[in-house]
Amino acid sequence: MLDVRDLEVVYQRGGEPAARDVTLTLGPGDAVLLTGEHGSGKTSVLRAVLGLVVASGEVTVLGRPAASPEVAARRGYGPQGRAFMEGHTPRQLVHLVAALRMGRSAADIADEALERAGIPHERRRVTARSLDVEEIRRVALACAIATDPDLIVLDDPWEFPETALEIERARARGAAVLVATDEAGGFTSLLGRTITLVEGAPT
Amino acid sequence: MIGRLMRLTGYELAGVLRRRWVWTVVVLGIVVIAIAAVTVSGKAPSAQSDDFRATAASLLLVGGLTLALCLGATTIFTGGITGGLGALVGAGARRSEVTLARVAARLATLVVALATWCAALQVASLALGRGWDGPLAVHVAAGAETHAAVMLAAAAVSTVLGPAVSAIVGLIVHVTAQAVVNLEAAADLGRLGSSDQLAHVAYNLLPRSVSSPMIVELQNRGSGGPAAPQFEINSIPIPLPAAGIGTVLWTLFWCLIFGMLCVRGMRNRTL
Repeated sequence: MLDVRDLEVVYQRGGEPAARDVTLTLGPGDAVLLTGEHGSGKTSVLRAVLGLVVASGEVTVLGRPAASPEVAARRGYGPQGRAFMEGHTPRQLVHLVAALRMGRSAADIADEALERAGIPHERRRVTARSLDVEEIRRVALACAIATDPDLIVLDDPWEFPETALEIERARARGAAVLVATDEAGGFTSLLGRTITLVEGAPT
Repeated sequence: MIGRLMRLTGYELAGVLRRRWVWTVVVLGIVVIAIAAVTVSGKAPSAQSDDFRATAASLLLVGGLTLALCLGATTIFTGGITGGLGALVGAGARRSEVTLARVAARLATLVVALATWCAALQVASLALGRGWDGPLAVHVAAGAETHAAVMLAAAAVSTVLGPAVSAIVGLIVHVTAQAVVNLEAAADLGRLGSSDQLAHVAYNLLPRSVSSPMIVELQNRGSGGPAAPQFEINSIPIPLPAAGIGTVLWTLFWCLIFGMLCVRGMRNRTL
């Protein structure tokens, strides 16, 4: 599912790597928790897995390079933070994400993902400005699980009952799960395997 | 690919149209048009026409430029920082598709805003008993092309730099585009001395402002108002020509260049 070897991410030419010497493999049903302090390189590793940053080393997802569009259709991503919605409604964003992955309109699949992430009907057409942080974190979860992808990548997810349920459900159907957070909490036992990053490198 | 692009553009357009400042600028423009119509209504027909058109030109310059700079400067950088672009690319959108969609949504917003002001200007013109003002409509179209080039320049810079710097670069492109047109007119008359050749080179290389027949006619008579003052060198007026088809196509070519720079800038950008 995911094969990362000797990954190094450098944002500024000649600068210190944000992530280095990271090697990890995820097979069907596997899960890994990436943890470490704020700024330890967790998001940089996820960005490399998602093809969002130029990285050295080898990153293959489902046997293809991470930036390959074919891979993106089978990979789910729940972004960190609360600004990624950029003024859109949960419905607009998750419908678009599902459509991009499916290659066609997938309203029913998107609505199901919103339901599973715990976003009630009346909050789906509300813009990001009117949503609280918890609701936005649920939208990130909905983005990740829509279309039931083969690899789920969650950046700084919140520990909702729905999060744990979706991770267990994904693993049960053979999908791999990669989670990054600086507050490991219940994710440690839920995911089983943990990689701790310190200044970009695994300890 | 077309379907995905349409879907992404619709999404981006919805995001842009939710920004309050866009609507604020558009509504303020309509208020300015209404005030201008009331102000010139009591004047003699010739003065009324000049004043109305000069005010319209000022609005289209200041308001249109504000919109173009703000829209262009926020095209890429902000979305890259917030994770909005990463969410889309992570979901399978190609970087080029996301870039084109964001640019297309902003271009559409700019064009619709200018078209709205044009419609309001025509309504005001009819209310003043001046009838349909064709030259003013042509001026709006000419301004739209120049503003589009400025917007795309700011958008291209926004792939690597923040909104403030992108807007400043867009403004520099606007000033440069107007300057090369003015200097070319002066060089054609031999008024720049040894710099005539330099002005010709700049005119043939850099983006140009598209000047409508209406604005150069007002400008050359010294009736263009603050938006289009008479161009003088050593206190000698330099008559400016209206843009020909060559300039229209040249500016479109620069729009294409800036658009390609946007796509290129996004290629390796961290999202």
